[in-house]
Amino acid sequence: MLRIAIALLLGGAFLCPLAVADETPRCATAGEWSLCTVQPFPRQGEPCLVKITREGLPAAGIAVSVTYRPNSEVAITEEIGRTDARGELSWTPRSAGIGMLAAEGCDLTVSIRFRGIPIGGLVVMLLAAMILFGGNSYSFAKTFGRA
Amino acid sequence: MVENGDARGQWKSHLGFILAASGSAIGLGNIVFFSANAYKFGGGAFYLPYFIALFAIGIPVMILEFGLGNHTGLAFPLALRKTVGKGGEYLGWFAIINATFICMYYITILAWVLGMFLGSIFGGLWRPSVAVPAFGLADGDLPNPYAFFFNMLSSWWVLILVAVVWLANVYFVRRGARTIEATVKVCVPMMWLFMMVLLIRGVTLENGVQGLFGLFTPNFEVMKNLDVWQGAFSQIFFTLSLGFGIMCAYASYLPRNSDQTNNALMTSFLNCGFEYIAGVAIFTILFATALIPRASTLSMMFFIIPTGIQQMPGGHPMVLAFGILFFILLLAAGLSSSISLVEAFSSALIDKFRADRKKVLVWAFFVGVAGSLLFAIPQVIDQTLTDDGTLGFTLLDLVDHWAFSHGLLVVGLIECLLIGWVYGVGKIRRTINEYSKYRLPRAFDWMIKVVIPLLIAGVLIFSIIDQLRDPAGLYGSSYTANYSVDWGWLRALPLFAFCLWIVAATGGAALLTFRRGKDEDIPL
Repeated sequence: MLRIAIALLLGGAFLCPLAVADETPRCATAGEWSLCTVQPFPRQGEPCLVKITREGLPAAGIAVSVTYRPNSEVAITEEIGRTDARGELSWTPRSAGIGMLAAEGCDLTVSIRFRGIPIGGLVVMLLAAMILFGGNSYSFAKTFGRA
Repeated sequence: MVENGDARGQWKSHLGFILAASGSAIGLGNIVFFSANAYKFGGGAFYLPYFIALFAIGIPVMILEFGLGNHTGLAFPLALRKTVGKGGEYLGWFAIINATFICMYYITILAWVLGMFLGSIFGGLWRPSVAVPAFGLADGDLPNPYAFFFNMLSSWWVLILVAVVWLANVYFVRRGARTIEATVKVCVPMMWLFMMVLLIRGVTLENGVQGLFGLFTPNFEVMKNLDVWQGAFSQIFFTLSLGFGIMCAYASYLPRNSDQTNNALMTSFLNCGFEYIAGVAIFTILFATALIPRASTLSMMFFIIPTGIQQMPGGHPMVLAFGILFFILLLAAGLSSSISLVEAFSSALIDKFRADRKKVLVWAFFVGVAGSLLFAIPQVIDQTLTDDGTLGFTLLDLVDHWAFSHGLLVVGLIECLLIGWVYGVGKIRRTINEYSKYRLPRAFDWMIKVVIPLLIAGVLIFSIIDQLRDPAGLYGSSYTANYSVDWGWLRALPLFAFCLWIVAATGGAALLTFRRGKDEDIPL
């Protein structure tokens, strides 16, 4: 019974609709203002188009800022420029992770992808897993294997 | 000592002890506090210092606490009295009272988790949006997990939930090690299984894998910030349940010939392994849904993750399934920790006064419920949510700040100094080595005597300097963060909470230390 429950739970998690690429722009609105990124998940080091509209019309000359790691102790906010006549601005994220674009009271949270696979992250992840789970398995085997 | 251990009951199996110790360490904190902290300090910039702290502080202090409990066969206060005298016992009672403060608000939070769990089963939590009449908020003003939480918080039902959670705790520790073991044998494997399911779901979400990189990719620029190191060293102390007296109490139920080094390694690795999986699961959900964790653990637990679950693909059945799963997971993790807190003070009182366990637990139930209600009632009575908080939240935040963020570190610091310099950590090391497969080197003594106290003192001093710089006074920022309006006498709340904690913990410890117990037969 327990095995069936475990199989159903794990199977259910795998069988959930897997990631489907969502290419729709992400937008946030506040009153008559709207702030969108054309790419739903911008990538670190690659330009991303930011659009600002007011009552549906392009808003020119609007200052846009970005906060990397918002709400954290290590948050960094920087101005990224002003929109052109088409209400657009090209932004190249310099850091991956959660970011927040802000303009005219509109806040848009975006998840910025890493440029490729970060080797450092992969090494830390594998090393930590090896030490924690490998160490545990070894200790368990030492203790309970003999019994 | 073993005779004493027999009278107090023992673990039925070694596995039962490991599950209980890891179950105590794995709590709500592993699931949400770790992720909130990791995000707060920059994700990958936090993980590396955290991992270093595990080996620099976590495992050595865990070995010390296991060794102390097993060496003496007594709960924390009497174990310290036996080794370092009355001063040690005083520290032990301070730790137990401090842990009791934590237990009280922890159980209030668990009652809220139970409310959210019931809400997720009966569907109220996953409706598109509901109004919050108590706070004058209309339909659609808040995302539903927020609205449901505030509705639940301001209802009298919460008080019943607090009593139910306390009753469950008392029931699970009614026969000490025996019933705790039976409980954790269900809770702990269930936690691992459910966390694995959440992990798989998280990494299969679009952009979910990015969360994995976000958690582990080191950012050396951010790591130069000392706050990150302070956060990581504090986290490892709290996550392993050190300074509560729990590990000492649990190890006191073990046979004398147990391998404490291996036990400490298994418990620490299980705890941090679970945290690893939990961190990945939560970060993948955060990155996939582009949600920003707010400042606190509570918001992560009650708002951010449920909002993330609500946004998962797969429609209502999937949201319902993962919502229920998440709250069962929190309940199991919370209960396996809270029973260890209840057991820590119950076993200490039983040891000191040779009291009947049933009587101690009945007393613990009534005092505990009263204490937990202090944190729950303000939200029910004061239904006006001014700005971002209510009186109860602020009180919880303040007590958490002193008892959890400072109390545990103070206990850990003095414990290392007393055992290291007064009793002589070498004696404990030699006893541990007698039965251990991995022999502790002499360097362990210097870790306990010098290195760890210096590290803990550094974290504490750094934190106190920060607070002295706070223009609002002793953690007054908790008040000013929640209330922009001047609430008159309530401005004194931060000072009141600090005084309540320090007077109750130090005064209570003195009272229990010098009150004559029936422990005269314990040789000093």
